[in-house]
Amino acid sequence: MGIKIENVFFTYQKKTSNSTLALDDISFAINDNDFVAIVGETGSGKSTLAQTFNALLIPDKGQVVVDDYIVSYKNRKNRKVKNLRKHIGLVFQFPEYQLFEETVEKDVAFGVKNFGAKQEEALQKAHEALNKVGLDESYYKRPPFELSGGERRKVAIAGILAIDPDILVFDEPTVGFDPSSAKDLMNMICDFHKNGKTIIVITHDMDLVRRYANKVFMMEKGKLVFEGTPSELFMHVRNYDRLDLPQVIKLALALKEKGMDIDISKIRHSDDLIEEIKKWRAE
Amino acid sequence: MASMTFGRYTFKETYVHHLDARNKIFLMILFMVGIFFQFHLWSTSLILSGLYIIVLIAIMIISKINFFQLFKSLAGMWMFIIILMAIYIFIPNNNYYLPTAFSIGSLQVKWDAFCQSGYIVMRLVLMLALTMVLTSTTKPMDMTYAFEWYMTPLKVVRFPAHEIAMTLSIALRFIPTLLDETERIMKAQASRGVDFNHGGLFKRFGAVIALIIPLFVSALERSEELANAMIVRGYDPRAKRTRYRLLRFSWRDIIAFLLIGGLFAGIIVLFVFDKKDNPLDLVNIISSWFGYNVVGF
Repeated sequence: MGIKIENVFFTYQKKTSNSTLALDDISFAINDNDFVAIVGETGSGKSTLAQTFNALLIPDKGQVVVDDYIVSYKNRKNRKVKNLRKHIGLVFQFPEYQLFEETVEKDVAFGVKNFGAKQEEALQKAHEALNKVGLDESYYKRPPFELSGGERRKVAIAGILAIDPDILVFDEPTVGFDPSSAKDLMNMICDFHKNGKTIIVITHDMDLVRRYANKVFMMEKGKLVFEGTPSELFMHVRNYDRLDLPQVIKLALALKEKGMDIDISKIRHSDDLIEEIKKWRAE
Repeated sequence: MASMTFGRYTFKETYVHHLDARNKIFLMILFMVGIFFQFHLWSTSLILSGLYIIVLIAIMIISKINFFQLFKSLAGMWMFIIILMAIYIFIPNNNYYLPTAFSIGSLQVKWDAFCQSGYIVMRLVLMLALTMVLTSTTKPMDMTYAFEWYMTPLKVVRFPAHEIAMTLSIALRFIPTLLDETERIMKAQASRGVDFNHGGLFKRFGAVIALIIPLFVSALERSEELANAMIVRGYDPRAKRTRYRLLRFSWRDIIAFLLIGGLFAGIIVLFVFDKKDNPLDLVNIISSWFGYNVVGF
């Protein structure tokens, strides 16, 4: 399992004067049960890349291999694409805009039914998914358009979750959220990860990367410019001030510059920094 | 969605692009009316259609419009064209003097009907090409200003000309945005297992519902936001306002006006001379210029 991306190229608006090369020879692999973050500036090709994972976009050259399904130009008319999409759940940016059914439970069950489940089974799965995202029974029969933005996003995420994919891709899941609901959402995603799902999060919030990811890929202008662990990324980003470092890392770096001997690669949370400072004082 | 590029405005430095939008709209209407004059004799109509085609091709070459685009959009309309032709061919016509092509039972299909349907399709193509010239050489905003200008006299009777022009320009402005939105929602629903390309009629209908409702919801929300933003900035539809872009009538417009207007005037004159008992026979007139005399065409 996992995803293997091999020399993928993608161009928007081919053969026109304003064609843009969005993916330029991207290759990397995502293993089973990874928590991957894909970072980069706006327009660096992150979302484009994510859409090739479940064949919404077909690479012009190269291929994306998910299990035994190959997303490539040659294989673009494969009828089994539905299997692939059952396997990889893609939660778009602002997913709250994809809701349309009369009730929350029906909307969540919609995806499940598309993949062949019967009405009752679909509803049951919908209820499970809704509980997982923290929406209780009182929400089941409410129309989704009546909910708040945050709740609607949760419903939309439940809609993907109910399909029960093995790999979940989130495109900027916390954008537009206040810090506490963003944290709730990320903790939820973390729970999915603990339950054995492979998680891919597209973000430019370095704080999220620091807290949750075990692997980071950084993109710039359609090219993969970095792959490694978050702490490696922070060392890399330092001499490269395009992305904003997390506050804790900034503090740790400043302390280190002043002569405190701290191992930055160990810092993920503020507690780690405190530990490191304590260690340094003991020495 | 990138395929929906028919008649989209693309800037080029040409004579037609620099024409005043008001003038272009007026001349287009003149040209269209000209196309719809029907003469009693087939040959006359046909010769004039040839003239229209030549003029139109010249205009398209001057304004650097891609002919391929026109053919592509026609290819997209083939169903419509075939139905239109079929209707014209199978309309019952019991004129004994006309030669019959074939007959199905008591229904006689005349050769004349084939000509008629071909003529209709040709008019359709001409109209399409004309609108394409207009929309791909005129900025949508200029077009709405021009509409507003034409509707200004109606303001006397409290006709909301400015409001309508504003609504129009907003609608035009949001077409690409909504297309992007459509694509986004389609992709999102495809991730939920909706198949927009395969499946039976019923299934596809369901797929369309999953697309249309979110699209409407977001469009309505967007319109509300836009309305609020306009109110916040003090927009008042009745207030007198100045414009950033001005429409100007220049020497180019006068030349274009004289050319197309002259063509139209010529056609009007021909039409006046075209009487039922004494139809205008262009073939005869033209051939007599060269010293021939064709009789009984």
